Amino acid sequence: MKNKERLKRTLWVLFFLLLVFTPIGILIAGPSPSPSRSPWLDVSVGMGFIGLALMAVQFALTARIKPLKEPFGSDLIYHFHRQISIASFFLILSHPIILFLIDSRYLRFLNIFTSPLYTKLGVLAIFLLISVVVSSEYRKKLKIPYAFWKFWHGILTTLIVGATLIHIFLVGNYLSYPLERAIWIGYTAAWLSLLCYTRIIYPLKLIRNKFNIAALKEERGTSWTITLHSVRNKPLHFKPGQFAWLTIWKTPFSDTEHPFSFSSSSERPSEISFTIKDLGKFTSTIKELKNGQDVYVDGPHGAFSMDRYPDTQKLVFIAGGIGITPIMSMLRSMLDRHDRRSVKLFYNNRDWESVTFREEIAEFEKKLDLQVIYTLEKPPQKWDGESGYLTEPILKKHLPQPWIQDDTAIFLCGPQVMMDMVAKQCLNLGFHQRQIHYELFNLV
Amino acid sequence: MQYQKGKRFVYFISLVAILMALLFAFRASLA
Repeated sequence: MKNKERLKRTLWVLFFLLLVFTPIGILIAGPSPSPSRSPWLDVSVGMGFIGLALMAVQFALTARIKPLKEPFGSDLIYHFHRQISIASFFLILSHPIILFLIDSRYLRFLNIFTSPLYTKLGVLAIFLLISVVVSSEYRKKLKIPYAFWKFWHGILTTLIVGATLIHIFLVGNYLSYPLERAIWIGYTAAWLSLLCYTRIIYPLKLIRNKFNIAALKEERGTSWTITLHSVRNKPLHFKPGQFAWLTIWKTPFSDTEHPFSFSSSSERPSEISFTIKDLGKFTSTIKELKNGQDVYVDGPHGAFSMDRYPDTQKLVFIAGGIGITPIMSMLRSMLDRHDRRSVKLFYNNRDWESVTFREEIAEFEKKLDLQVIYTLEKPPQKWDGESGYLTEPILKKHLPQPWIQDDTAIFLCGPQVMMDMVAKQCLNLGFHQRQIHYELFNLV
Repeated sequence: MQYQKGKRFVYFISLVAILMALLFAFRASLA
């Protein structure tokens, strides 16, 4: 990783810490409390303030602000968002729990019919927060559809932060300090601006830069490639391996987008394509798209790209099923760039008939310094290639010692179970963790 | 590896948060 990128990361981390801990820092430096005030009351207040600051910052993390996403990669940001949200949940939850422990009379505030407005809002925020955490952590087990979850996740988290901000302003404790009040007014204004940007300005930008479907092509393996043209003839520059959020059938205001990797060459930014496998409710509608139909493209995003590691001399691509799409983008880009670096492609599929892009990959073998190793779970008769899943002996057989060097980079894309397994196998072969690149999108 | 670093950063923030809340509460005794 370049030093410039490392510096950007460090600056973002410092800025994050500053945002989260400034309000409590001001309180610590402020005047001492009256001796009669229980310090545990202030522990509770402190936990609440830090928890709220952490939660408000989540809106910036998920707002797809490019300068913030680029140094880290979208998947890392989303993983961090998930983990830090759970931490902020426990900090906020500890606020009422400590209150109840120090004085059971606070329990009467749980009766929202008799309690004052500020406690009503506090109780509402806590219950909504519990529902948001449970629905996010157990979405699949609870069988909540992704689009439904995503829509309500946005609404509920907005309500939570809104209710909590009003709660702290109404309680007024410590906000009588001018600096503390100014900080929280500033945070509220920043949060409202961010909401306005993500919910109104950003969707409007996407509508302004909309794309049309130029072609729809069926591929092997129940997959379809959609090719898009910018209505304003504005090329979309991306790095091979990156992805975009697509909104189809609805407008960007509906907040029902889905992430897909670019499958086209990055050298052809005026004609972008995505290859999508029929795997679920949304992806099963791709084949019904018509030429000329509007598609809204939010991208590029992601750090999964060979272009981030320009000093690499040898490339190992490992794909499972439709995980071939970002790798196709890298191979097509290599062809367009006349890139003659050595490439090994391990491509795992169920059977030979469902190997997406197999004819084009055969062409690449003639034009690039590429060797393809197919592994088939159900190979046909007279198959002389590898059978079953991709295993360590298969990797070892096709990656001799000259490949296990520092100038080799491995790019993995496929089902999460496969990526976890293959990443471990690569480590066993002698590769370093920094040489293995993948993105995890199975977040909720 | 980056995911592990992210996880450790979350633990670090949580620990600092608890320490800051305690420092805030007991600032009078520490002064």
